[in-house]
Amino acid sequence: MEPADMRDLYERYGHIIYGRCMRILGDGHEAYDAAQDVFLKLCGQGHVLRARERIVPWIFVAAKRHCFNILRSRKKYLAVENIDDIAGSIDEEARMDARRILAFVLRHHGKKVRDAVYYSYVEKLSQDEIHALTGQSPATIRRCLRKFQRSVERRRQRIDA
Amino acid sequence: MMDKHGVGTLELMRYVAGDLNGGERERIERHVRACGVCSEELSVLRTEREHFLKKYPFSLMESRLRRTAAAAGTRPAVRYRFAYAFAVCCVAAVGAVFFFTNTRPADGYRVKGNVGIRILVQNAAGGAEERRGHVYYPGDRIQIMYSTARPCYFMLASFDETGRSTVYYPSSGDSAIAVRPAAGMPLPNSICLDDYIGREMFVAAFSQRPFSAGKVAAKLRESMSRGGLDAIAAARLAGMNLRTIRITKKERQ
Repeated sequence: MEPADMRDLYERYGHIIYGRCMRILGDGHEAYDAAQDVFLKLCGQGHVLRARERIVPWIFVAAKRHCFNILRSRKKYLAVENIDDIAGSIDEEARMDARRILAFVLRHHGKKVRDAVYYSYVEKLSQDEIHALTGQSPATIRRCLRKFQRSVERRRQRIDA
Repeated sequence: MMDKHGVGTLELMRYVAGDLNGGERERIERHVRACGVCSEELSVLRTEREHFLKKYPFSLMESRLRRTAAAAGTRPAVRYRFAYAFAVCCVAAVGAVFFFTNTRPADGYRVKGNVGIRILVQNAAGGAEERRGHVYYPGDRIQIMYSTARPCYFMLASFDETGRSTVYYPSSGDSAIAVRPAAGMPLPNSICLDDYIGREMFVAAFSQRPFSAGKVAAKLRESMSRGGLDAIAAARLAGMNLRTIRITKKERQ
């Protein structure tokens, strides 16, 4: 890829990549490092770049995967956050912090629920958009979200008890 | 969030990135003019883009690209790395197969797979010794010793280059003899070598199950007819451990 093409790509999509990484990682420098990694991957995706309509969905999926891997490898959230505190605060809309939700869901749920929760609560996408990104049907997405909410509820009851 | 009114976040992002075609672009613009929520979201996206490019201009990315290009120059691309790894695995697999199928252990006393045989010969003083190079003379008296870690069934035969074979154990009947676990246990009776001059091979067959010595000897003769003594050494019989010792018989000077 020519440098001019890369610059064009960066100026069009750099902020989208960075935004996704920032939401998950929460730290500007860390997010920019991750965004650079994802951008380099994007530059190598010839088949994605040839179909422009696929670039933004690809960025959502690739950035999420890359940043989740960073979280898993560093165990950052799980080390610094008290899961019980997180469960106690998740239902409070005002305190619904993206990283707290991710810490909880990464610890307690599988890929389907993680994806549904991330795209719904963190990225605030509609079910149709989540379906376009993950291939999960709206019914599955709703089921995953209910599962997540029930697990939060159970955790809270345990804390109260 | 939403596309309750027909336009979603992903579409707005694509609009800001300039991905949409004429018709889609017009539809978004029409909608944004009429929808305050989307109009606000669009302006947030544009602001985010401006701030991002101001804070992290492409020049920052260029230095990273240079480092990556330098690293790529010294390191093969991912797909080639897989190809190299695959090639190394293939070579290792072929090497392992070649090693395990074609390596013939040195002649003499050996225990492999917990079984083995050894030949001792009576010396002039009446004692027993192991003959260097397994060179023997007609009339020599040899003693075969076996080793096995488990109880098993056993036979011993010899084959010479003329195609003649002799089954020594079992000494009578066709069933392999049962032997107990032992290390260097002499077989009953010694063997007096005949007048044949040339190469000869002693073959011991060990098996966990009883077997017919005649059938095994026939299979080994069949192998020998195809490739001589080397074919016997390389022979594989199901459920059997074969051990061979080559000897050379010379005329006594």
